[in-house]
Amino acid sequence: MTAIETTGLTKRYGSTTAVADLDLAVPEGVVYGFLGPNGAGKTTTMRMLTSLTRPTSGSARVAGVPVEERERLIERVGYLPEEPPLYTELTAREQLTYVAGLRDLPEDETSRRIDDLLDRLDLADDADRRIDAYSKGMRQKTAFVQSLLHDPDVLFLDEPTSGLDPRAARTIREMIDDLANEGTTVFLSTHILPVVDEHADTVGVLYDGRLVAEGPPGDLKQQADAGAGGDAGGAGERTLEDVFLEVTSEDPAADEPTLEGATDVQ
Amino acid sequence: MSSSGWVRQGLSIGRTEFRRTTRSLRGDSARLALLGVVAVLFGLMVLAGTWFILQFGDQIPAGDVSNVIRGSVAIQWLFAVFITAQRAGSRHHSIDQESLMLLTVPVRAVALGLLSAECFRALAYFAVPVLLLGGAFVVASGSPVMAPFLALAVLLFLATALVLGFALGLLAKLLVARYRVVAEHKSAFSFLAVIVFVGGYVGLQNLGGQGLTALLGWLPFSWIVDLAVIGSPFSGSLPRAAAILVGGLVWVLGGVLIVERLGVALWFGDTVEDAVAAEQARVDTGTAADPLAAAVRPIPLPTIGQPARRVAQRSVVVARRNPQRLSFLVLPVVLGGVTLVNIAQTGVGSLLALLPPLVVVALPWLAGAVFGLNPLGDEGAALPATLTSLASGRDYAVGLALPGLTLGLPVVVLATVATGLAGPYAPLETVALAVIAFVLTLAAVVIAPAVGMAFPRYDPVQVGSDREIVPPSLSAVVLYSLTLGVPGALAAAAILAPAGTRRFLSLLVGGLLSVPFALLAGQGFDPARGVVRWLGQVGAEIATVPVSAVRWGGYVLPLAALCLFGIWAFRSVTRRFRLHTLD
Repeated sequence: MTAIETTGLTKRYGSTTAVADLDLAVPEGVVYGFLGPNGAGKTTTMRMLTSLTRPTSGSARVAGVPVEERERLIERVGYLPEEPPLYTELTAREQLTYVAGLRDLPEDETSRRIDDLLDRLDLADDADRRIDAYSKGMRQKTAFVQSLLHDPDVLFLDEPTSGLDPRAARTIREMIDDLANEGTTVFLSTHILPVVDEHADTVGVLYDGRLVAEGPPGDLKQQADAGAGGDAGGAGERTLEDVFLEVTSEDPAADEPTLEGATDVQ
Repeated sequence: MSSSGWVRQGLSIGRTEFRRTTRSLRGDSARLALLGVVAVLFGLMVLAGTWFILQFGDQIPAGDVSNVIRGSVAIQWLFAVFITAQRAGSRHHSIDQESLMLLTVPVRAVALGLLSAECFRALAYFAVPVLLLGGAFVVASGSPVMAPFLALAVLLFLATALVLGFALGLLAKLLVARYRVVAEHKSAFSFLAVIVFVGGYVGLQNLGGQGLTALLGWLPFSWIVDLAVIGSPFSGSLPRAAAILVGGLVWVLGGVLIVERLGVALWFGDTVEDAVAAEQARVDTGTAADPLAAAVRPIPLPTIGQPARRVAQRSVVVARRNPQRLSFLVLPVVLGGVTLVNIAQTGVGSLLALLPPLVVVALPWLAGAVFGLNPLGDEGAALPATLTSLASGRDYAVGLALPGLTLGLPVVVLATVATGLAGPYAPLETVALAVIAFVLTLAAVVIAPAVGMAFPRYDPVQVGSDREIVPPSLSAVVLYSLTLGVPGALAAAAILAPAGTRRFLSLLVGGLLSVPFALLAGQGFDPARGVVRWLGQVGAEIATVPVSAVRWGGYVLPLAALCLFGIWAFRSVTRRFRLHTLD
């Protein structure tokens, strides 16, 4: 079954088009790496898919629910925006209790789940300190726990490892894999390409509001290899970074659809 | 680095900081509007003063500068020192982008930059009034020689006060950085300092008498007035003028060096503040089974559905732990208090007679404003989480209203009854006032969020050096105040003074409202003549309405309207939350 499905999804702000005619079909239980340079429209796309921004045209369904139906949709999705959505006056435990309460989750069971997740992310000792005394990484971990407290079907993560030390980043990446293995669809936006390379089943590259490449990381790299021919860094040595730079290049010569093999979205 | 180098760099930093201040002000419509109101009021006073000096300045008898005059100047100088110290200690104790600046220019240049920026800010506020009033005096007294000395004295007044104030502010900040006990209780110490100084200042102004003021005239800073009057019909002491001119310049140069030394100690030294903040961030109630419920105690929020209860608990905890969020309430409360005392002093009524109607309107206003006048802005970064976690807009509306109701309703009703019984009102009138207070509070806790969500504000303002708050928009404050205040005041006036209310309404409709139409009619716009006639008739008819009808009609109708508006407001909050997006 398709977890995320969009058809001609478009968002315009006045004369500026943030996202143009986006067609996506992300199956259940996969990690979808969503790449793109700054300002490509990634955050706008995630906001539309979580009902926080209204599309100008087109349609989208997440976990089978149209994005216009927020009341039904929010039971099925979790969202970690780039800026951790936290009240800095609360402690992590209070914050998580608060958000669980908004979702009307059973209190005792949720309390145990909060303790487990805090423990797993090494936050238990600081859980009763106010968030305004937290480092960026601690805030990020708290917000990550918050996004998956209700066990969502689809989890949208915008730069989830931003500001984390290597150990915490590794824990989050492992949790992303675990979630996908348990059937959760993870829509992962990040600039850290090795993370996408290692964890994503499928990668989509958004550039100037349009999806310019899509496919499994291996296939994209293979296509880049084929396109590069005997150039430096040729066959077998191309990385996702090369792919990214190629499909998001301003150079007209690079605008040729060199990666059309995996899933042609040009 | 040559001596001219750091001076040039420091003044350049000062200009840049001043430019940043004006740019941030231009982008803040609420502060601009407030500043505009103050500028109009203050500007009118300055213009009136200028006119007065031009008209009658030549009649001021020439004489010697007394110690009382010097002392009065000293009091204002001390006030300027205090304000600068307060600003330096709380907001301007270090430069923005500190590491960049300290690695780019000498510390002395940074110190001069901070000082000169503050000097430019002060001049931006006071240069025009001083020029107008001083210029008027120079012209009226026919003493052009005085002008350069007056300008020099004003600059010396500012510069000497600024360097001392800045040094004191940095010293206070240094004590906070070095001593744990000071860091732990910095809010209490700062409150104490404000109370002591403001108490002393107000006491000196109102109770000190001329003897004490004259005593302050011996302080060298007061001799600035001797410098200012050179070349005018007044004769000051030339030795004092010379002493303050030389001494003042030495003082300013020495002050810059002291600010530099304090800056080095503060900006490059260790601080205990982080450790203290980390300790104070630990919350005792955190380990409770329900940490939010424990954090709210002892406030008895009623047991309701979990989502609405959580919204209410969060509102209370956030407001309690960050009371600076409520600083926007201080100005209206102070203005209300001052207005009440002023009205009482004019003899319209005694304080005890005026207090109950004020309580009836002001306390419900507070009950609504404290928790709900900018709900979306108060969410801050958490807004996406709230929108994607809470399904019901109704729960949001109930949760926002609950703290104001739980805390406000008993206080409002009790205060109304207590002040009503203490005042010159009959028990029936007190009961009627209590009913108004009850209805107004119910309406306030839903109207405040409805207005706040219709006119939200998201731009934060800086409070102190390390905290930002998002006050409500000016539109929301004004609209909420009018929506609640007009019907509330009308109902209270109708029940307590129906005849006076009738007269007021009659004059309002028949007189005041018809003024613009009368002006239009005077310009030859004939249809306005008909409106003036009609308004006059309505005003006359109001004057003939029986007093009992005014009393009960004026009482019931506004309250009924508020109830209906409250229902609409509740639905509006529900709908706006459900449909809100981050577009």
